[in-house]
Amino acid sequence: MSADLSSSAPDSSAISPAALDQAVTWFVRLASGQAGAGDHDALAQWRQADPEHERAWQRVQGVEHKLRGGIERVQAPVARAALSGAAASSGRRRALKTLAVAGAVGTAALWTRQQGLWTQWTADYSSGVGERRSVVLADGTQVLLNTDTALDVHFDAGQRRLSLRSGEVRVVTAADPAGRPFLVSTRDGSLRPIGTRFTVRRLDGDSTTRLSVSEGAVEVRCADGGPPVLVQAGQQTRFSGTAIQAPAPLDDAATSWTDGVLTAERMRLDDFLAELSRYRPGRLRCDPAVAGLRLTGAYPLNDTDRILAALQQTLPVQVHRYTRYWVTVSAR
Amino acid sequence: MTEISLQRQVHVLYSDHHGWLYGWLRKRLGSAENAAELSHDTFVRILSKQTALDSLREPRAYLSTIAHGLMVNHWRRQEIEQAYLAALAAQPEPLTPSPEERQLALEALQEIDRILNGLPSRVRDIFLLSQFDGLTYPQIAERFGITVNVVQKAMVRALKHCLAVQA
Repeated sequence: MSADLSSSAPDSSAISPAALDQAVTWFVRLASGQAGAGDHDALAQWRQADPEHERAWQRVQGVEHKLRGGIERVQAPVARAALSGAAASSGRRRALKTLAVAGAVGTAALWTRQQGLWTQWTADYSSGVGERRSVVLADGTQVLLNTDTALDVHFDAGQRRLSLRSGEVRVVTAADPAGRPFLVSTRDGSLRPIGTRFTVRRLDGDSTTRLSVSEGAVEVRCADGGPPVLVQAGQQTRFSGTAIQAPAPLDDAATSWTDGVLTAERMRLDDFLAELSRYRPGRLRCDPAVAGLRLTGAYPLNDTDRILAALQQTLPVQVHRYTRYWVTVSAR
Repeated sequence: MTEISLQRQVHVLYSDHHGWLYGWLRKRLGSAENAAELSHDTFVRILSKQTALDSLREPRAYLSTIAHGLMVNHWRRQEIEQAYLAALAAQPEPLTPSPEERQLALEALQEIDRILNGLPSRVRDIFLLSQFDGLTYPQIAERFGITVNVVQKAMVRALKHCLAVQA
């Protein structure tokens, strides 16, 4: 991400190389672990002697801040070991490690974030985090987009097809005078509704799609083929690119968002917060010590801050806000 | 150039060559999912570059150049992740950061790694021992069996490298 960095770095064009060299020498002298008060005084004098010196010093300090700022969240010895270890391994043959992924965390999550932005920019219809948006398509089909959703619509002479790239939609299909088939696809497979009302949610975390059918019926096919499974009204299922779960009774909580409500029935707090975080920008963390607490209730989604405040009333928890975008729920 | 026209140009580039780029990446990465992610990211990168695309003579050469850079980053990220997990496991008191903490840590490590990229490993290690472990120059010199003077020179080199990357 060199573009990011250069845009955030201060204008450096005018600092003289000589001043910068001296600033580097000062920095290296003071970092030795053997510098005394005399050295610090001498540095202060040098910085005051010329505005150019001060600017050069600030630039060198900028490097240090960049490194230290980045490292606040990693214990220094771990950071050093990781960076040294990675350097040592980088000489080995690339081909051997193209498929090696050490954990389910990290890489995947990072990609998902950037991909989300891309998905939203290029989708036919999209909604922002915390937004719900209603769309009526050319054939009269009604689509309700839940938070953070990207949807493409392809209608032509032979078919009506929606592709859900990310997020969640509720679809109420309309009869088509031309009799064209209706199809909803995700990365995991495709759905053929039969006169119906249903919700589809793509779960990026475990790469599956969840289907809840309220009316009619929906036929599900995995991306990899195999026989289709029919999901009837009052049923739900989950499928990956390779397998479809047997349909189970519909959990009303899964579709309550269409009424602007997050419903929980004896729901674990960590699951609840994971769900809630879909509707808020930033991070919402749950302390493992309180993750197993259960809660029941219906929470209006239009004000997620109020939901967090309400948690403090009903559960022995405390909500810490480091910033608007960084919230942790822990024991009181 | 306006943002709208850039987005339109990228859109055309996307429709014409996305399938080809996906195949190109899939052959090299051996994974459909990684190929899909990296090809998306290639277009995100092109959008963020803000350069005009209508005069592009060899769009596929351009795409594959950017995709190759991202592929190298991708491998590098995996290496750092592995090294990070190994470093965590090697701590005397086992550390178990949460997934969020791990992700933030990895982002930070990747950024530092990017800045230090290109330095000889000895210079890099000296710089890290000084800046992260807080070792003095004599301690570092002793660890590597070198003189304090060599440590100082390595520090100067590392710092100048960082300044050049940041400029």
